[in-house]
Amino acid sequence: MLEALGVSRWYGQVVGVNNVSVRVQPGVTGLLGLNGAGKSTLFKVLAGQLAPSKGRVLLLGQDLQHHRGLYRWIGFCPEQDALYESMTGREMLVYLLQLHGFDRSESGRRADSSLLRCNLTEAADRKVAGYSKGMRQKVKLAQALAHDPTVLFLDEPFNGMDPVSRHESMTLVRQLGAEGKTVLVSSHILHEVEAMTSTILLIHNGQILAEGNISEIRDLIERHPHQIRIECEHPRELAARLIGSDDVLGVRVDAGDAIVVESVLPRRLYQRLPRLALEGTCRIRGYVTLDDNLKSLFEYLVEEGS
Amino acid sequence: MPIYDQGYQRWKGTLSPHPVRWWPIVRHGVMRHLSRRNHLLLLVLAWIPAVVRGVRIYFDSRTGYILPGGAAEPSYFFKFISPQGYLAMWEQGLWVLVFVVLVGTDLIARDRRYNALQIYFSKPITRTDYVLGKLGIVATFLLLVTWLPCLLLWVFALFMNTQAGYFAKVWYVPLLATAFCALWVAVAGLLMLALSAVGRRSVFIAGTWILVYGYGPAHGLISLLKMLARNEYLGLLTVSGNLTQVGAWWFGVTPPHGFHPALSLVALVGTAALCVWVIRRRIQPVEVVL
Repeated sequence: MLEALGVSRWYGQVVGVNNVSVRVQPGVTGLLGLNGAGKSTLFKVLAGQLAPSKGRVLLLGQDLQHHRGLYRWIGFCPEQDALYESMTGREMLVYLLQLHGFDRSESGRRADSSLLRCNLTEAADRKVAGYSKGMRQKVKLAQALAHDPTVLFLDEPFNGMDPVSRHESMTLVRQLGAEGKTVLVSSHILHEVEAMTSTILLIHNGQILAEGNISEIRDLIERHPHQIRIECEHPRELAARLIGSDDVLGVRVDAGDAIVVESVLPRRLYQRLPRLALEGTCRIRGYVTLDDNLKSLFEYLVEEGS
Repeated sequence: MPIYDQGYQRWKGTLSPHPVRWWPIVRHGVMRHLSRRNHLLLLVLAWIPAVVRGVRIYFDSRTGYILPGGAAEPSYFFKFISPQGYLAMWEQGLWVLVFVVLVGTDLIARDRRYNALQIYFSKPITRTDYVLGKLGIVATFLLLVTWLPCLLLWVFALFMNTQAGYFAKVWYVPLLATAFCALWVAVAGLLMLALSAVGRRSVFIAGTWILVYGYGPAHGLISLLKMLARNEYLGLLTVSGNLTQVGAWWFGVTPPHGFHPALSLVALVGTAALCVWVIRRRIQPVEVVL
């Protein structure tokens, strides 16, 4: 469906994306990367917004840079605000649909349908200037969907959305994937992507670090020693009880009545914690995993790779 | 009703062919300006000189003779649409200034301010479509205040003037007016688009356009320099000066500068080419700042 063949993109002396070859299949794929990893550059190159310095991007088997007509099958939702403040949401969609070649009545019908799908019908006739951040995200999503594209590029589409809108939009993205559309969603939040898809692309320093099923990545995280910070009343007592267990590699006392436990079997430790809290005198107030995030995963994968 | 029931159906109709994909940009831009009452009022005012000239032609024809400056010669029509006729309210040069500044300054600058270029170029339109669309907006207003009134005046003069041989004298005026207005619109419009693609502030864009185009003080300065340096070629420095030179040549009027008008034509083509180059460089879906 969408394929990058040895794509590189550099800005002067700075390399944004370095020799990336990847194939994106129908369904939802998450493009994950830390800030500055080259995620936005790769995203824009794949969406045809930036020409690659080297390599080719193929959409439906044809070179995207040389077939402008292919853009008919692309829906693009940019990360930044890209809206005319003086227009209403509906006016904007109708105008953009006309650029696709639809006549006025069909553009109006499609705009209404898309606004309804993004749950923005009530605000459709209000000026974009008065929209909240979440509504702006939705109208960008609506314009990306309105012409019924085959491939959708959604660049951080849930930024600024309230939890309800976020949930609705994630459901919509999942549905689009289930309908057979190729949806590439970029994000730097792992659980956000996890809620929509199990297929991910991890990018780091301009290169694809890993691609495939998110559960495989999860397994890698599981094998990677975890750090868990436990807040409790008597941290030294709890530390003494944990040391020596086969699921604990080490324990150190942290500031603020807490201990940091390093474990290779975090799930087993999580299961033990309630029992420990009941058995002893050290009341556990809460715990948090310090490295169950994208950054530690990347650090771990980079370490593994080297 | 579940959301997935609101899914789309494939479009069974025909999409507009690609060669006219710029048309929605023109229509949207023109309607946006026409929906503003003050812009409409200015458009009406811009037609007053044409109406005044029409009245004069009517009286000339009733009295049976052509007054000096009457619509007997092609030069009469050129004076009406002279690019340097901005000093006189009854000539259209002033209205070209008004409408280029009013309509053109924000055309690309606004899209860049709102990051709208990346949305435009995620659609199946090319940079050429985009530029043609934006140029079409300026062109519509400029042609409405130059070419159209000039053409209607010609029709009216032809209709009112029953003198034998009058048609033979002015039959080619519509062709000249069309060619000249097309050149005018292309150069003035592309210059404005290039500046709009470079600058973000409307005041800067409008000021620079007026300076390069050669209106008001800029024209006065060039005239002064020309006189002091006794160098006629300084007339090549302003767009309006070159347009007047070429227009005078085509309409059979004595050119204002003492060099061959073909030089001005070359300068205008060069200016337009430079503007196209700037526009192509500046209009990118993603602005890359190094």
